[in-house]
Amino acid sequence: MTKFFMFLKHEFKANKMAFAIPFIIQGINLALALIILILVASKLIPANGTLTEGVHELFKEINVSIDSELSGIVIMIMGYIMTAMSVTIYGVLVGMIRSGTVLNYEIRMGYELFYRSLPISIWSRSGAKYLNSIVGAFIAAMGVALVNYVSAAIMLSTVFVDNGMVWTMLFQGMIAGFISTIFAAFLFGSIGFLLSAVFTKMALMKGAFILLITGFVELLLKAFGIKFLPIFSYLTGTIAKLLQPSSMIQTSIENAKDIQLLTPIPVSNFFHLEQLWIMLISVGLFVLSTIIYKHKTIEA
Amino acid sequence: MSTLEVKGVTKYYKKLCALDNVSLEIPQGRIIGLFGRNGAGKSTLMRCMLGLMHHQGDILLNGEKVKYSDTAIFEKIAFIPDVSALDKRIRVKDAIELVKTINPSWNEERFDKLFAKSNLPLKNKVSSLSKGMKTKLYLLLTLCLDVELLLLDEPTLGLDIQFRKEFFNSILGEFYNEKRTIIISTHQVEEVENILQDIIFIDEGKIILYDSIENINTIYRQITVPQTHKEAVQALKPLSMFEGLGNITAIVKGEIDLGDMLYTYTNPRISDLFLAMVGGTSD
Repeated sequence: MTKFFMFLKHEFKANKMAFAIPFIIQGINLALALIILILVASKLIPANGTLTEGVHELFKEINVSIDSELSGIVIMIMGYIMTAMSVTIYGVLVGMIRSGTVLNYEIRMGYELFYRSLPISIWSRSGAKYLNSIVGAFIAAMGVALVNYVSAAIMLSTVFVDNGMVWTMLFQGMIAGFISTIFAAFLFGSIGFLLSAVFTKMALMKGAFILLITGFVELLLKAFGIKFLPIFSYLTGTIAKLLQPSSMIQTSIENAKDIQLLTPIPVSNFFHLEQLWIMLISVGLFVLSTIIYKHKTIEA
Repeated sequence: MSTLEVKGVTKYYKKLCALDNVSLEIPQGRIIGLFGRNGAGKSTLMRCMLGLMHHQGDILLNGEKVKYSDTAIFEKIAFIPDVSALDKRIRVKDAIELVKTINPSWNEERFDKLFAKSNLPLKNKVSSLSKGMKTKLYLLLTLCLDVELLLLDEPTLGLDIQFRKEFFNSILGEFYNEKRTIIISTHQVEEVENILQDIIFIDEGKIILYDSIENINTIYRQITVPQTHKEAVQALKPLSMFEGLGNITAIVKGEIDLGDMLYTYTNPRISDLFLAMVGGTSD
Protein backbone atom coordinates (compact mmCIF):
# COMPACT_ATOMS: atom_id res chain seq x y z
CA MET A 1 0.00 0.00 0.00
CA THR A 2 2.96 2.31 0.65
CA LYS A 3 3.86 2.05 -3.03
CA PHE A 4 0.30 2.81 -4.06
CA PHE A 5 0.03 5.88 -1.83
CA MET A 6 3.47 7.04 -2.92
CA PHE A 7 2.37 6.80 -6.51
CA LEU A 8 -0.91 8.54 -5.75
CA LYS A 9 1.06 11.40 -4.20
CA HIS A 10 3.43 11.40 -7.16
CA GLU A 11 0.53 11.57 -9.61
CA PHE A 12 -0.91 14.50 -7.72
CA LYS A 13 2.42 16.33 -7.81
CA ALA A 14 2.83 15.68 -11.52
CA ASN A 15 -0.67 17.00 -12.25
CA LYS A 16 -1.16 19.63 -9.57
CA MET A 17 -1.73 22.39 -12.11
CA ALA A 18 -4.78 20.53 -13.41
CA PHE A 19 -6.22 20.67 -9.89
CA ALA A 20 -5.33 24.30 -9.36
CA ILE A 21 -6.95 25.49 -12.60
CA PRO A 22 -10.62 25.07 -11.43
CA PHE A 23 -9.86 27.11 -8.31
CA ILE A 24 -8.13 29.83 -10.30
CA ILE A 25 -11.02 30.02 -12.80
CA GLN A 26 -13.61 29.98 -10.03
CA GLY A 27 -11.70 32.63 -8.07
CA ILE A 28 -11.82 34.89 -11.11
CA ASN A 29 -15.55 34.11 -11.64
CA LEU A 30 -16.41 34.92 -8.04
CA ALA A 31 -14.39 38.12 -8.02
CA LEU A 32 -16.18 39.23 -11.22
CA ALA A 33 -19.60 38.26 -9.81
CA LEU A 34 -18.91 40.18 -6.62
CA ILE A 35 -17.81 43.28 -8.53
CA ILE A 36 -20.91 43.13 -10.75
CA LEU A 37 -23.21 42.61 -7.72
CA ILE A 38 -21.68 45.54 -5.86
CA LEU A 39 -21.83 47.75 -8.95
CA VAL A 40 -25.47 46.88 -9.71
CA ALA A 41 -26.55 47.06 -6.04
CA SER A 42 -24.80 50.37 -5.53
CA LYS A 43 -26.91 51.79 -8.38
CA LEU A 44 -30.08 50.66 -6.55
CA ILE A 45 -29.21 51.98 -3.06
CA PRO A 46 -32.10 54.16 -1.84
CA ALA A 47 -31.26 57.67 -0.66
CA ASN A 48 -29.15 57.45 2.54
CA GLY A 49 -29.41 53.62 2.31
CA THR A 50 -26.78 50.93 2.70
CA LEU A 51 -25.30 48.44 0.22
CA THR A 52 -27.45 45.67 1.84
CA GLU A 53 -30.56 47.69 1.04
CA GLY A 54 -29.26 47.99 -2.52
CA VAL A 55 -28.97 44.22 -2.73
CA HIS A 56 -32.57 43.95 -1.40
CA GLU A 57 -33.68 46.23 -4.22
CA LEU A 58 -31.81 44.08 -6.69
CA PHE A 59 -33.61 40.93 -5.47
CA LYS A 60 -36.93 42.72 -5.78
CA GLU A 61 -35.99 43.75 -9.34
CA ILE A 62 -35.44 40.11 -10.28
CA ASN A 63 -38.69 39.08 -8.50
CA VAL A 64 -37.09 37.14 -5.66
CA SER A 65 -39.14 37.44 -2.52
CA ILE A 66 -36.97 37.70 0.55
CA ASP A 67 -39.57 37.08 3.24
CA SER A 68 -41.69 34.13 2.14
CA GLU A 69 -41.13 30.38 2.74
CA LEU A 70 -40.46 30.03 -0.98
CA SER A 71 -37.23 31.95 -0.43
CA GLY A 72 -35.83 28.87 1.26
CA ILE A 73 -36.55 26.82 -1.85
CA VAL A 74 -35.03 29.48 -4.06
CA ILE A 75 -31.88 29.35 -1.96
CA MET A 76 -31.83 25.57 -2.01
CA ILE A 77 -32.21 25.56 -5.81
CA MET A 78 -29.42 28.11 -6.02
CA GLY A 79 -27.21 25.82 -3.94
CA TYR A 80 -28.19 22.90 -6.14
CA ILE A 81 -27.51 24.72 -9.40
CA MET A 82 -24.23 26.16 -8.18
CA THR A 83 -22.99 22.74 -7.08
CA ALA A 84 -24.39 20.85 -10.04
CA MET A 85 -22.77 23.35 -12.39
CA SER A 86 -19.43 23.24 -10.59
CA VAL A 87 -19.39 19.48 -10.53
CA THR A 88 -20.62 19.23 -14.11
CA ILE A 89 -18.05 21.67 -15.41
CA TYR A 90 -15.10 20.68 -13.27
CA GLY A 91 -15.92 17.16 -12.15
CA VAL A 92 -17.44 15.82 -15.36
CA LEU A 93 -15.91 17.89 -18.14
CA VAL A 94 -12.48 18.57 -16.63
CA GLY A 95 -12.44 15.05 -15.17
CA MET A 96 -13.25 13.59 -18.57
CA ILE A 97 -10.68 15.75 -20.35
CA ARG A 98 -8.06 14.86 -17.72
CA SER A 99 -8.88 11.19 -17.76
CA GLY A 100 -8.79 11.24 -21.57
CA THR A 101 -5.03 11.74 -21.35
CA VAL A 102 -4.24 9.92 -18.14
CA LEU A 103 -3.08 6.55 -19.48
CA ASN A 104 -1.55 7.76 -22.72
CA TYR A 105 0.26 10.91 -21.62
CA GLU A 106 3.46 9.18 -20.46
CA ILE A 107 3.48 6.97 -23.55
CA ARG A 108 3.08 10.00 -25.81
CA MET A 109 5.76 11.97 -23.99
CA GLY A 110 8.22 9.05 -23.83
CA TYR A 111 8.16 8.75 -20.00
CA GLU A 112 6.41 5.41 -19.88
CA LEU A 113 9.57 3.28 -19.71
CA PHE A 114 10.70 5.10 -16.58
CA TYR A 115 7.47 4.17 -14.81
CA ARG A 116 7.29 0.65 -16.21
CA SER A 117 10.82 0.05 -14.88
CA LEU A 118 9.65 0.63 -11.31
CA PRO A 119 8.64 -2.32 -9.15
CA ILE A 120 5.03 -1.22 -8.85
CA SER A 121 2.26 -3.17 -10.54
CA ILE A 122 0.38 -1.77 -13.51
CA TRP A 123 -2.86 -2.20 -11.52
CA SER A 124 -1.57 -0.04 -8.67
CA ARG A 125 -0.37 2.61 -11.11
CA SER A 126 -3.60 2.52 -13.05
CA GLY A 127 -5.63 2.67 -9.82
CA ALA A 128 -3.65 5.67 -8.59
CA LYS A 129 -4.15 7.36 -11.95
CA TYR A 130 -7.88 6.61 -11.93
CA LEU A 131 -8.33 7.98 -8.44
CA ASN A 132 -6.21 10.98 -9.26
CA SER A 133 -7.95 11.88 -12.49
CA ILE A 134 -11.59 11.10 -11.71
CA VAL A 135 -11.90 11.31 -7.95
CA GLY A 136 -9.25 14.05 -7.92
CA ALA A 137 -11.18 16.15 -10.43
CA PHE A 138 -14.31 15.48 -8.46
CA ILE A 139 -12.70 16.60 -5.20
CA ALA A 140 -11.47 19.72 -6.98
CA ALA A 141 -15.04 20.30 -8.20
CA MET A 142 -16.35 19.81 -4.68
CA GLY A 143 -13.77 22.30 -3.45
CA VAL A 144 -15.05 24.79 -6.00
CA ALA A 145 -18.64 24.03 -4.94
CA LEU A 146 -17.69 24.71 -1.31
CA VAL A 147 -16.05 27.99 -2.27
CA ASN A 148 -19.26 28.86 -4.14
CA TYR A 149 -21.34 27.79 -1.15
CA VAL A 150 -19.47 29.91 1.36
CA SER A 151 -19.33 32.92 -0.98
CA ALA A 152 -23.03 32.68 -1.87
CA ALA A 153 -24.04 32.13 1.78
CA ILE A 154 -22.11 35.20 2.87
CA MET A 155 -23.62 37.26 0.05
CA LEU A 156 -27.18 36.02 0.69
CA SER A 157 -26.80 36.50 4.44
CA THR A 158 -26.57 40.19 3.73
CA VAL A 159 -30.09 39.94 2.25
CA PHE A 160 -31.87 37.49 4.58
CA VAL A 161 -32.32 38.15 8.25
CA ASP A 162 -32.33 34.43 9.10
CA ASN A 163 -28.67 33.63 8.42
CA GLY A 164 -29.02 30.03 9.62
CA MET A 165 -31.72 29.39 7.06
CA VAL A 166 -29.51 30.63 4.21
CA TRP A 167 -26.60 28.42 5.22
CA THR A 168 -28.78 25.34 5.75
CA MET A 169 -30.83 25.66 2.58
CA LEU A 170 -27.80 26.34 0.44
CA PHE A 171 -26.08 23.36 2.02
CA GLN A 172 -29.04 21.07 1.33
CA GLY A 173 -29.09 22.29 -2.25
CA MET A 174 -25.37 21.71 -2.52
CA ILE A 175 -25.62 18.13 -1.25
CA ALA A 176 -28.46 17.40 -3.68
CA GLY A 177 -26.46 18.86 -6.55
CA PHE A 178 -23.37 16.94 -5.48
CA ILE A 179 -25.08 13.57 -5.32
CA SER A 180 -27.02 13.98 -8.54
CA THR A 181 -23.81 14.68 -10.51
CA ILE A 182 -21.13 12.55 -8.79
CA PHE A 183 -22.23 9.40 -10.58
CA ALA A 184 -22.18 11.08 -13.96
CA ALA A 185 -18.66 12.28 -13.12
CA PHE A 186 -17.61 8.68 -12.49
CA LEU A 187 -19.24 7.40 -15.66
CA PHE A 188 -17.88 10.05 -18.00
CA GLY A 189 -14.47 10.03 -16.30
CA SER A 190 -14.32 6.26 -16.71
CA ILE A 191 -15.21 6.56 -20.41
CA GLY A 192 -12.38 9.10 -20.80
CA PHE A 193 -10.09 6.70 -18.94
CA LEU A 194 -10.95 3.88 -21.35
CA LEU A 195 -10.38 6.14 -24.36
CA SER A 196 -6.94 7.09 -22.97
CA ALA A 197 -6.07 3.38 -22.77
CA VAL A 198 -7.25 2.65 -26.31
CA PHE A 199 -5.92 5.71 -28.15
CA THR A 200 -2.47 7.22 -27.67
CA LYS A 201 -3.29 10.46 -29.44
CA MET A 202 -6.46 12.61 -29.50
CA ALA A 203 -8.36 10.05 -27.43
CA LEU A 204 -11.36 12.27 -26.67
CA MET A 205 -11.73 13.46 -30.25
CA LYS A 206 -11.70 9.88 -31.46
CA GLY A 207 -14.11 8.90 -28.69
CA ALA A 208 -16.51 11.70 -29.62
CA PHE A 209 -16.34 10.59 -33.25
CA ILE A 210 -17.15 6.99 -32.29
CA LEU A 211 -20.03 8.22 -30.13
CA LEU A 212 -21.45 10.23 -33.02
CA ILE A 213 -21.19 7.24 -35.32
CA THR A 214 -22.89 5.12 -32.64
CA GLY A 215 -25.70 7.68 -32.40
CA PHE A 216 -26.10 7.67 -36.16
CA VAL A 217 -26.20 3.86 -36.30
CA GLU A 218 -28.70 3.84 -33.43
CA LEU A 219 -30.95 6.24 -35.31
CA LEU A 220 -30.72 4.13 -38.45
CA LEU A 221 -31.49 0.90 -36.61
CA LYS A 222 -34.37 2.56 -34.81
CA ALA A 223 -35.77 3.78 -38.14
CA PHE A 224 -35.74 0.18 -39.38
CA GLY A 225 -37.26 -1.07 -36.12
CA ILE A 226 -34.15 -3.05 -35.09
CA LYS A 227 -33.46 -3.26 -31.35
CA PHE A 228 -29.89 -2.32 -30.35
CA LEU A 229 -27.98 -1.59 -27.14
CA PRO A 230 -28.80 2.13 -26.73
CA ILE A 231 -25.32 3.43 -25.77
CA PHE A 232 -25.79 6.87 -27.31
CA SER A 233 -29.28 7.30 -25.83
CA TYR A 234 -28.03 6.20 -22.42
CA LEU A 235 -25.20 8.74 -22.43
CA THR A 236 -27.32 11.62 -23.70
CA GLY A 237 -29.99 10.63 -21.19
CA THR A 238 -27.43 10.84 -18.38
CA ILE A 239 -26.37 14.30 -19.56
CA ALA A 240 -30.03 15.38 -19.60
CA LYS A 241 -30.47 14.08 -16.05
CA LEU A 242 -27.59 16.27 -14.97
CA LEU A 243 -29.55 19.32 -16.02
CA GLN A 244 -32.69 18.33 -14.09
CA PRO A 245 -33.15 19.18 -10.43
CA SER A 246 -33.12 16.08 -8.25
CA SER A 247 -36.37 14.50 -7.11
CA MET A 248 -35.63 15.88 -3.65
CA ILE A 249 -35.75 19.43 -4.96
CA GLN A 250 -38.89 18.72 -6.99
CA THR A 251 -40.66 17.33 -3.90
CA SER A 252 -39.63 20.42 -1.95
CA ILE A 253 -41.14 22.68 -4.58
CA GLU A 254 -44.36 20.66 -4.78
CA ASN A 255 -44.79 20.77 -1.00
CA ALA A 256 -43.58 24.32 -0.63
CA LYS A 257 -46.57 25.51 1.35
CA ASP A 258 -46.17 23.19 4.27
CA ILE A 259 -42.69 21.77 3.95
CA GLN A 260 -40.41 22.14 6.95
CA LEU A 261 -37.49 23.32 4.95
CA LEU A 262 -35.06 23.29 7.82
CA THR A 263 -35.63 19.60 8.55
CA PRO A 264 -32.73 17.51 7.22
CA ILE A 265 -33.73 15.47 4.18
CA PRO A 266 -33.34 11.67 4.70
CA VAL A 267 -30.17 10.32 3.06
CA SER A 268 -32.15 7.55 1.35
CA ASN A 269 -33.91 10.19 -0.75
CA PHE A 270 -30.65 10.93 -2.54
CA PHE A 271 -29.90 7.45 -3.84
CA HIS A 272 -31.45 5.11 -6.40
CA LEU A 273 -30.56 1.88 -8.19
CA GLU A 274 -29.31 3.53 -11.37
CA GLN A 275 -26.41 5.03 -9.42
CA LEU A 276 -25.29 1.54 -8.42
CA TRP A 277 -25.29 0.51 -12.08
CA ILE A 278 -23.24 3.56 -12.99
CA MET A 279 -20.66 2.66 -10.33
CA LEU A 280 -20.50 -0.96 -11.56
CA ILE A 281 -20.08 0.19 -15.16
CA SER A 282 -17.33 2.59 -14.02
CA VAL A 283 -15.47 -0.21 -12.23
CA GLY A 284 -15.84 -2.38 -15.35
CA LEU A 285 -14.45 0.40 -17.53
CA PHE A 286 -11.50 0.81 -15.14
CA VAL A 287 -10.69 -2.91 -15.31
CA LEU A 288 -10.99 -2.98 -19.11
CA SER A 289 -8.84 0.17 -19.43
CA THR A 290 -6.10 -1.31 -17.23
CA ILE A 291 -6.01 -4.57 -19.20
CA ILE A 292 -5.67 -2.64 -22.48
CA TYR A 293 -3.04 -0.35 -20.95
CA LYS A 294 -1.07 -3.30 -19.57
CA HIS A 295 -0.82 -4.91 -22.99
CA LYS A 296 0.08 -1.75 -24.83
CA THR A 297 3.49 -2.17 -26.42
CA ILE A 298 6.07 0.47 -25.68
CA GLU A 299 7.95 0.86 -28.93
CA ALA A 300 11.70 0.23 -28.83
CA MET B 1 23.86 -20.91 -12.72
CA SER B 2 23.32 -18.20 -15.29
CA THR B 3 21.82 -14.94 -14.08
CA LEU B 4 19.81 -14.57 -17.24
CA GLU B 5 18.90 -17.09 -19.91
CA VAL B 6 17.38 -16.13 -23.21
CA LYS B 7 15.91 -19.16 -24.97
CA GLY B 8 14.78 -18.94 -28.58
CA VAL B 9 13.36 -15.44 -28.30
CA THR B 10 11.67 -14.15 -31.43
CA LYS B 11 9.94 -10.80 -31.70
CA TYR B 12 8.01 -9.38 -34.61
CA TYR B 13 6.82 -5.81 -35.14
CA LYS B 14 3.99 -6.60 -37.52
CA LYS B 15 5.89 -8.31 -40.35
CA LEU B 16 9.34 -7.05 -39.34
CA CYS B 17 11.42 -9.60 -37.48
CA ALA B 18 13.26 -7.65 -34.75
CA LEU B 19 14.63 -10.70 -32.92
CA ASP B 20 15.15 -14.00 -34.67
CA ASN B 21 15.39 -17.01 -32.37
CA VAL B 22 17.88 -15.39 -30.00
CA SER B 23 19.48 -17.59 -27.34
CA LEU B 24 22.01 -16.40 -24.74
CA GLU B 25 23.25 -17.35 -21.31
CA ILE B 26 24.42 -14.43 -19.26
CA PRO B 27 26.34 -15.36 -16.12
CA GLN B 28 26.87 -13.48 -12.86
CA GLY B 29 29.52 -10.86 -12.42
CA ARG B 30 30.24 -9.94 -16.04
CA ILE B 31 30.37 -6.64 -17.85
CA ILE B 32 28.98 -7.23 -21.31
CA GLY B 33 28.89 -4.95 -24.33
CA LEU B 34 25.89 -5.30 -26.63
CA PHE B 35 26.63 -3.84 -30.04
CA GLY B 36 24.65 -3.54 -33.20
CA ARG B 37 23.61 -1.05 -35.83
CA ASN B 38 20.54 1.10 -35.37
CA GLY B 39 17.51 -1.16 -35.63
CA ALA B 40 19.57 -4.32 -35.15
CA GLY B 41 17.43 -5.39 -32.18
CA LYS B 42 19.49 -4.24 -29.15
CA SER B 43 16.73 -2.24 -27.45
CA THR B 44 14.11 -4.85 -28.31
CA LEU B 45 16.29 -7.59 -26.78
CA MET B 46 16.74 -5.56 -23.59
CA ARG B 47 13.02 -4.86 -23.31
CA CYS B 48 12.17 -8.51 -23.87
CA MET B 49 14.67 -9.42 -21.11
CA LEU B 50 12.74 -7.11 -18.78
CA GLY B 51 9.30 -8.44 -19.63
CA LEU B 52 8.34 -5.15 -21.20
CA MET B 53 7.34 -6.76 -24.49
CA HIS B 54 5.39 -9.77 -25.63
CA HIS B 55 7.61 -12.25 -27.49
CA GLN B 56 7.99 -15.88 -28.44
CA GLY B 57 10.47 -18.01 -26.49
CA ASP B 58 11.51 -17.85 -22.85
CA ILE B 59 13.58 -15.59 -20.67
CA LEU B 60 14.67 -16.86 -17.27
CA LEU B 61 16.17 -14.86 -14.43
CA ASN B 62 17.90 -17.13 -11.90
CA GLY B 63 15.90 -20.00 -13.34
CA GLU B 64 12.54 -18.28 -13.02
CA LYS B 65 10.57 -17.31 -16.08
CA VAL B 66 10.31 -13.59 -16.69
CA LYS B 67 6.63 -12.91 -17.35
CA TYR B 68 5.24 -10.03 -19.34
CA SER B 69 4.72 -6.92 -17.23
CA ASP B 70 5.91 -8.57 -14.02
CA THR B 71 7.14 -5.40 -12.38
CA ALA B 72 8.54 -7.27 -9.35
CA ILE B 73 11.51 -8.06 -11.60
CA PHE B 74 12.68 -4.48 -11.17
CA GLU B 75 13.70 -5.27 -7.62
CA LYS B 76 16.40 -7.43 -9.22
CA ILE B 77 17.06 -5.65 -12.52
CA ALA B 78 17.63 -1.96 -13.17
CA PHE B 79 17.31 -0.39 -16.58
CA ILE B 80 18.11 2.86 -18.30
CA PRO B 81 16.41 3.14 -21.69
CA ASP B 82 17.84 4.91 -24.69
CA VAL B 83 15.35 7.73 -24.53
CA SER B 84 15.09 10.63 -22.15
CA ALA B 85 12.35 8.84 -20.22
CA LEU B 86 12.34 10.90 -17.04
CA ASP B 87 9.06 12.68 -16.39
CA LYS B 88 9.75 16.35 -17.01
CA ARG B 89 6.80 17.55 -14.91
CA ILE B 90 8.34 16.54 -11.61
CA ARG B 91 11.20 17.92 -9.51
CA VAL B 92 14.52 16.16 -9.02
CA LYS B 93 13.71 15.45 -5.35
CA ASP B 94 10.32 13.96 -6.33
CA ALA B 95 11.97 11.57 -8.79
CA ILE B 96 14.44 10.51 -6.08
CA GLU B 97 11.68 10.14 -3.46
CA LEU B 98 9.58 8.06 -5.87
CA VAL B 99 12.30 5.54 -6.72
CA LYS B 100 13.54 5.46 -3.12
CA THR B 101 10.06 4.65 -1.75
CA ILE B 102 8.96 2.26 -4.46
CA ASN B 103 12.14 0.24 -4.93
CA PRO B 104 13.25 -1.80 -1.89
CA SER B 105 16.67 -2.24 -3.53
CA TRP B 106 17.53 1.41 -2.86
CA ASN B 107 20.96 1.88 -1.27
CA GLU B 108 20.99 5.14 0.67
CA GLU B 109 24.71 5.05 1.36
CA ARG B 110 25.56 4.76 -2.31
CA PHE B 111 23.02 7.45 -3.10
CA ASP B 112 24.73 9.89 -0.72
CA LYS B 113 28.09 9.14 -2.27
CA LEU B 114 26.93 9.49 -5.88
CA PHE B 115 24.66 12.45 -5.21
CA ALA B 116 27.57 14.39 -3.68
CA LYS B 117 29.43 14.00 -6.98
CA SER B 118 26.46 14.82 -9.20
CA ASN B 119 25.79 18.57 -8.61
CA LEU B 120 22.10 17.87 -9.23
CA PRO B 121 19.76 20.68 -8.08
CA LEU B 122 17.14 18.99 -5.89
CA LYS B 123 14.48 21.66 -6.20
CA ASN B 124 14.65 22.06 -9.98
CA LYS B 125 12.09 20.53 -12.28
CA VAL B 126 13.42 17.83 -14.58
CA SER B 127 12.28 19.95 -17.53
CA SER B 128 14.78 22.67 -16.54
CA LEU B 129 17.76 20.28 -16.54
CA SER B 130 20.15 19.99 -19.45
CA LYS B 131 20.20 16.70 -21.33
CA GLY B 132 23.42 15.77 -19.58
CA MET B 133 21.95 16.53 -16.14
CA LYS B 134 18.85 14.48 -16.93
CA THR B 135 21.08 11.56 -17.86
CA LYS B 136 23.04 12.07 -14.63
CA LEU B 137 19.81 11.96 -12.64
CA TYR B 138 18.70 8.79 -14.39
CA LEU B 139 22.07 7.18 -13.76
CA LEU B 140 21.92 8.21 -10.11
CA LEU B 141 18.44 6.73 -9.69
CA THR B 142 19.54 3.49 -11.28
CA LEU B 143 22.99 3.01 -9.81
CA CYS B 144 21.64 3.44 -6.26
CA LEU B 145 19.76 0.18 -6.61
CA ASP B 146 21.25 -3.05 -5.26
CA VAL B 147 20.21 -5.20 -8.20
CA GLU B 148 21.71 -8.30 -9.77
CA LEU B 149 21.53 -7.08 -13.32
CA LEU B 150 21.92 -3.62 -14.77
CA LEU B 151 20.86 -2.93 -18.35
CA LEU B 152 22.16 0.29 -19.82
CA ASP B 153 20.87 1.32 -23.22
CA GLU B 154 22.97 4.26 -24.42
CA PRO B 155 23.54 5.37 -20.82
CA THR B 156 25.80 8.33 -21.50
CA LEU B 157 23.86 9.92 -24.33
CA GLY B 158 24.12 13.69 -24.02
CA LEU B 159 26.94 13.63 -21.49
CA ASP B 160 30.21 15.45 -22.11
CA ILE B 161 33.36 13.42 -22.66
CA GLN B 162 34.70 14.15 -19.16
CA PHE B 163 31.64 12.74 -17.41
CA ARG B 164 31.43 9.84 -19.84
CA LYS B 165 34.97 8.80 -18.92
CA GLU B 166 34.22 9.32 -15.22
CA PHE B 167 31.09 7.25 -15.56
CA PHE B 168 32.67 4.27 -17.26
CA ASN B 169 35.94 4.35 -15.32
CA SER B 170 34.78 5.26 -11.84
CA ILE B 171 31.02 5.67 -11.22
CA LEU B 172 30.10 2.30 -12.73
CA GLY B 173 32.76 0.78 -10.45
CA GLU B 174 30.74 1.92 -7.42
CA PHE B 175 27.97 -0.37 -8.59
CA TYR B 176 29.85 -3.35 -9.97
CA ASN B 177 30.92 -6.40 -8.01
CA GLU B 178 31.41 -10.08 -8.83
CA LYS B 179 27.73 -10.83 -8.13
CA ARG B 180 26.35 -8.19 -10.46
CA THR B 181 26.13 -8.26 -14.22
CA ILE B 182 26.08 -5.17 -16.37
CA ILE B 183 24.97 -5.15 -20.00
CA ILE B 184 25.86 -1.96 -21.84
CA SER B 185 24.59 -1.00 -25.24
CA THR B 186 26.35 2.00 -26.69
CA HIS B 187 27.64 3.38 -29.95
CA GLN B 188 30.67 4.84 -28.14
CA VAL B 189 32.51 1.53 -28.29
CA GLU B 190 35.97 3.00 -27.69
CA GLU B 191 34.91 4.35 -24.32
CA VAL B 192 33.76 1.02 -22.96
CA GLU B 193 36.06 -1.53 -24.57
CA ASN B 194 38.56 -1.33 -21.70
CA ILE B 195 35.99 -2.34 -19.08
CA LEU B 196 34.18 -5.05 -21.03
CA GLN B 197 34.66 -8.74 -20.30
CA ASP B 198 32.24 -10.13 -22.89
CA ILE B 199 30.86 -8.95 -26.20
CA ILE B 200 27.60 -9.57 -27.99
CA PHE B 201 27.16 -8.50 -31.60
CA ILE B 202 23.62 -8.44 -32.91
CA ASP B 203 22.61 -7.86 -36.50
CA GLU B 204 19.18 -8.05 -38.11
CA GLY B 205 17.80 -9.63 -34.95
CA LYS B 206 20.40 -12.41 -34.81
CA ILE B 207 23.31 -12.87 -32.42
CA ILE B 208 26.36 -13.07 -34.63
CA LEU B 209 28.96 -13.13 -31.88
CA TYR B 210 28.87 -13.75 -28.14
CA ASP B 211 32.19 -14.44 -26.51
CA SER B 212 34.65 -13.19 -23.91
CA ILE B 213 37.22 -10.57 -24.87
CA GLU B 214 39.87 -13.11 -23.91
CA ASN B 215 38.61 -15.66 -26.43
CA ILE B 216 38.01 -13.06 -29.09
CA ASN B 217 41.62 -11.92 -28.81
CA THR B 218 42.74 -15.50 -29.30
CA ILE B 219 40.48 -16.20 -32.26
CA TYR B 220 40.57 -12.94 -34.21
CA ARG B 221 43.67 -11.07 -35.34
CA GLN B 222 44.27 -7.91 -37.26
CA ILE B 223 47.22 -8.34 -39.57
CA THR B 224 49.08 -5.79 -41.63
CA VAL B 225 51.16 -6.83 -44.66
CA PRO B 226 52.61 -4.99 -47.68
CA GLN B 227 50.13 -4.59 -50.54
CA THR B 228 52.23 -6.87 -52.70
CA HIS B 229 50.96 -9.82 -50.62
CA LYS B 230 47.30 -9.17 -51.25
CA GLU B 231 46.66 -12.62 -52.72
CA ALA B 232 48.17 -14.37 -49.72
CA VAL B 233 45.91 -12.39 -47.38
CA GLN B 234 42.85 -13.11 -49.52
CA ALA B 235 43.65 -16.81 -49.23
CA LEU B 236 43.10 -16.50 -45.47
CA LYS B 237 39.47 -15.52 -46.20
CA PRO B 238 39.62 -12.37 -44.07
CA LEU B 239 36.48 -10.96 -42.47
CA SER B 240 37.50 -7.54 -43.71
CA MET B 241 40.34 -6.10 -45.76
CA PHE B 242 41.47 -2.50 -46.03
CA GLU B 243 44.12 -1.13 -48.37
CA GLY B 244 46.00 2.06 -47.63
CA LEU B 245 49.42 3.64 -47.45
CA GLY B 246 51.09 0.72 -49.22
CA ASN B 247 49.77 -1.83 -46.74
CA ILE B 248 46.82 -4.14 -46.39
CA THR B 249 45.10 -4.43 -43.04
CA ALA B 250 42.80 -7.39 -42.57
CA ILE B 251 40.91 -9.08 -39.79
CA VAL B 252 41.19 -12.83 -39.92
CA LYS B 253 39.78 -15.66 -37.89
CA GLY B 254 41.81 -18.59 -36.62
CA GLU B 255 45.42 -19.52 -37.18
CA ILE B 256 47.47 -17.36 -39.56
CA ASP B 257 49.68 -19.19 -41.99
CA LEU B 258 51.59 -16.79 -44.23
CA GLY B 259 54.77 -18.83 -44.52
CA ASP B 260 57.94 -16.76 -44.26
CA MET B 261 56.15 -13.53 -45.01
CA LEU B 262 56.79 -10.68 -42.62
CA TYR B 263 53.66 -9.30 -41.07
CA THR B 264 52.54 -7.55 -37.92
CA TYR B 265 49.43 -8.43 -35.97
CA THR B 266 47.41 -6.98 -33.15
CA ASN B 267 44.14 -7.73 -31.41
CA PRO B 268 41.38 -6.12 -33.43
CA ARG B 269 39.48 -3.27 -31.87
CA ILE B 270 35.86 -4.05 -31.09
CA SER B 271 34.57 -1.48 -33.56
CA ASP B 272 36.77 -2.89 -36.35
CA LEU B 273 35.74 -6.44 -35.57
CA PHE B 274 32.10 -5.39 -35.51
CA LEU B 275 32.39 -3.71 -38.91
CA ALA B 276 34.24 -6.71 -40.24
CA MET B 277 31.43 -9.00 -39.15
CA VAL B 278 28.40 -6.96 -40.14
CA GLY B 279 29.91 -5.11 -43.10
CA GLY B 280 30.30 -1.37 -43.53
CA THR B 281 33.25 0.97 -43.14
CA SER B 282 35.02 2.42 -40.14
CA ASP B 283 33.86 5.84 -41.28
